[in-house]
Amino acid sequence: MKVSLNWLQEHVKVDLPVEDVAFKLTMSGLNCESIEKHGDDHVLDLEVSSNRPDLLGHRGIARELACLLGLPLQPLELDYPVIEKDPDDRNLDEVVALIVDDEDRCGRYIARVALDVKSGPSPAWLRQRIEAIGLRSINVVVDLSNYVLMDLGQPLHAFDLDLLEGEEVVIRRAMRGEKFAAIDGSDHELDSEDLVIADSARVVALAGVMGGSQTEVDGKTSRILLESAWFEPVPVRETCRRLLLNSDSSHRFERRVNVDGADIASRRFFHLLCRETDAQVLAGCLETIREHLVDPVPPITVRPERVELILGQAISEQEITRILAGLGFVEESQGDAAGKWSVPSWRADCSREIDLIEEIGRIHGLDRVPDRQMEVRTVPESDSAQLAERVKSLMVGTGHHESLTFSFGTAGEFDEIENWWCIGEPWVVKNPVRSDEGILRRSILPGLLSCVRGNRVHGVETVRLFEVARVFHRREGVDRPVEKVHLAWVHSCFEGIEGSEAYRGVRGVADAVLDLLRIDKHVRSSATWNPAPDDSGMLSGSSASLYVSTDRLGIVGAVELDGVTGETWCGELDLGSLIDYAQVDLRYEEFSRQPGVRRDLNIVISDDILWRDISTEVEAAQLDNLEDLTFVDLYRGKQLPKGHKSVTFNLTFRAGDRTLTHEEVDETVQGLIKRLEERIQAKLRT
Amino acid sequence: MNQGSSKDLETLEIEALKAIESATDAPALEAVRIGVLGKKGSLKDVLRTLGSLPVEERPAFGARANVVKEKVEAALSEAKVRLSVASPKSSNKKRRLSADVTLPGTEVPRGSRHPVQLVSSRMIRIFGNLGFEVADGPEVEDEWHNFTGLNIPVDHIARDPAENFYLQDDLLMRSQTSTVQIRVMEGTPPPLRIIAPGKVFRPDTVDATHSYMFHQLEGLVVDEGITFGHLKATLLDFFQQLLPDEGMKLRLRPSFFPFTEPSAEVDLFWRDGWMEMGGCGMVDPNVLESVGIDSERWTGFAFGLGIERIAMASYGIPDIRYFTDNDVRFLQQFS
Repeated sequence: MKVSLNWLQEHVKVDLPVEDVAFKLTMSGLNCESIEKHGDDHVLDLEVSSNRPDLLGHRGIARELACLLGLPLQPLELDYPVIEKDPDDRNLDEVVALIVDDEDRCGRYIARVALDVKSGPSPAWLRQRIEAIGLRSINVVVDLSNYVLMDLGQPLHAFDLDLLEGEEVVIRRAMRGEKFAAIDGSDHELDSEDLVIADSARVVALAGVMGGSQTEVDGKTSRILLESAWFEPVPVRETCRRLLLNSDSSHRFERRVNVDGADIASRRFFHLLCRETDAQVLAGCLETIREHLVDPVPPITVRPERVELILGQAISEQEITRILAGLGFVEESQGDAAGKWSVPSWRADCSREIDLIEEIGRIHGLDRVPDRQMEVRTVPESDSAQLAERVKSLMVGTGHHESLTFSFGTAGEFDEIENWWCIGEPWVVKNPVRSDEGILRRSILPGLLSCVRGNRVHGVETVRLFEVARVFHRREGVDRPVEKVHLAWVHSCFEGIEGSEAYRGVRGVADAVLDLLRIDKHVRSSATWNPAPDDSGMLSGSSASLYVSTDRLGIVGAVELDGVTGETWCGELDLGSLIDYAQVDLRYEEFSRQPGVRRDLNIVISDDILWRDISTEVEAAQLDNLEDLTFVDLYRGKQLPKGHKSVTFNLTFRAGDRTLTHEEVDETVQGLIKRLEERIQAKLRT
Repeated sequence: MNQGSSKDLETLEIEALKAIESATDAPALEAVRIGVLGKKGSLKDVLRTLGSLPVEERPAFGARANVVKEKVEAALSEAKVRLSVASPKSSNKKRRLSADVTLPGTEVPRGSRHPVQLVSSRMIRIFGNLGFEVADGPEVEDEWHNFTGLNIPVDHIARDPAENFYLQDDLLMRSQTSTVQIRVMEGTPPPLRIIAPGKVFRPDTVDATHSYMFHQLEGLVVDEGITFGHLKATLLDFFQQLLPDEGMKLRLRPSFFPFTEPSAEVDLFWRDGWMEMGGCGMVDPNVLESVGIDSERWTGFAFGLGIERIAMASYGIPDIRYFTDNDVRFLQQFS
């Protein structure tokens, strides 16, 4: 809201530099965003919060300033001379009829009429005021209605009465498709939700938003009808939004203008009109007001001890009285309400003691309240939060950069990955920023992969990213998204690496996370990796899915990124569920201090035999004293028979109570080799 | 005699280990080795008695002798290492390598935390020191937690579908972390002292300072006798620890939020001007009453701080969009 300092002076005689005025207002809740010099005047741009429509006019701001500085607020003159009848000997209600069809939306309507109006140029003072705050001076009638709007915060609209057909003013809903030409030159097609002011033939104003061009007041105007009204805020807002039309009037109606202010503003207008021109005002007014439009707020008790409890500083009763009275609250002196405070009509935001305590704090100065330390308190540690932090540290330690991608976005390239995590319709945001970006993600990978592409396209040759974030799944019988915390990571690089080796790299990250969470220790051997189905969204033959117990909790594999050369491997885990499985209590386990015996085996097997087939065989053999089986290397090459590969692994044997002899270990290993030959046609490579 | 043989083995082991331990140089150690394991050593002496044992006892005795032998051998090699490390003489005999020590180190893959997460973690730590516990709530919320419980009336502009990301009636991406206030108060009776960092969503037009997804850190204290003065001291403590800088100033400027009263903007003067860091205020009695907390007995304060804004200020990042571009050349600067 643009505010002229000279204008404020009409209401309160301030003798302070403009910077001090701006600071005072800022620290009481009217943030001053800028100060501009305008001739001998200064214009402050003040930020008015949505609960204070009373501050959308100079007088409201002057009232704050007067209270802050302990100065009186000048009275507002409202009187004007009237004539009882027009030259045709008609009363006001014989000149024009007021019909309010929709009281739900038009809570109050006041119309007054002036004759012999010569709407010439405005006097200099009026022009200066209007122009200082950025409005264009048009003619004295229009300028005065704008002046009162910007002074009292009550929108007014003057119609050229001679251009109103049928000598009636009807407030009704628009008919669907009805046309309206606004004063700013724009044309609109209306809807039955729009409230309009009409004469007997057409729409002459969009209620609360803008007047029409056909009844505009200009130099030829001699009779005016001045509207001062109260319209329901929400429908005004909706009409504005639908028609993409805004005005100083709608800005105020949307924020709920003061019901009592309608009449005051109308009278102020005619006071000024009579002061500045020779216009004659017809006595009386046409008015409708909806019953119970405003329920009076019962007077409010303010307990000084409660003021102290909220603010943390005792405020004297004298100061409390000074502040509240200065803002227009009235201390009742009689009956049950004695000592309580009545709320002025323009302060619809105040109805409770706390509202008045805020007023007291604001004017007294929140910056004057002394700091007070809270007592010391300890915070219990959260295991799951710590585990999540340690997982992130692990990801950083393995060379990944933490990323931040959007929670909803487009469908497309990686829908299969999303579907793998959660079959069923994704949740969708109805009005995303871009129309195609409303799909809540079920997987983090698609977002991360598009960042990988961005990096690779920009010439970054090796990209390792990770993110821990929520995904949103649909579960039958649950009427809102099931939110899960996932961890996803990607490794993309320019050079290709042999498939199994690259797979092991990305899988190693997953294994490290499982180790950190000690999943295997908790639910022994129930964490298993199986080849993922072809519709997992990963490249066929590259991907494995993780099962813990019977839950499918992760996937790793390679993807093809359009426009990106080299290889891109990635993985994603349901971190939240894994953390639920995690074993957090550390416990020492006894281990054998006897020397162990290690044997390396290198076998040649058919290509379709998987490592898991080998390890299952080894496990099934139940070898005596076998402590550990470790994969070492996988090799394919010309030296090997076609369709075959060689696999190297080692076995560690250890007894709990004695030193094993080489002979007994060799015997065990021979047994295993024989078993592998028989069961998976393995041949020892020599 | 049989008893004597086992005893001999035991004595031999104890004495040999003692001698190995007290050997102070390599020649002394070698003398011990010859004395025990040599051709004419004491172990051989004991083994010579093997022939005089009953046949059935011989294997056990032999095995026992082997264990002693292995133990002595292990002790000898351990002592060898010990002496070679301790002796300055032998260090002169260390192998020489010929590395080019002016070469740079091998690049170890080093990742990084995201700057928004770095700041968030710091905030959590500082508030943790001030006694605040971390709480959490869903990112998709219902209108009760996002609006009604927070004293935001039905026709309030903040509820407008154009100001929010609605999924369907009564379900939207949360527009503020204040939702967690309601969730916590519903589940836990006062006293409460919590923070809730997380994502929030508003359909703002994206530019250098706006995004439609950003992070807030919400704080809530409910206790007996909590005042606006406590709110001021807490925020001041926090910012002094976050940005230790003599020129830093904090001011709470009166403002309006439906869920706090009195309400204030948190303004921070840092480096070259005032910045709005978030909002705060005393918890509105309607909010407390909406979750069944007696607002006469309990008072409290709440605040919400913008994490991106703090990250941008502390690291000098000019554009909020960099946070979601995830360019490695940007991210790796925070390792």
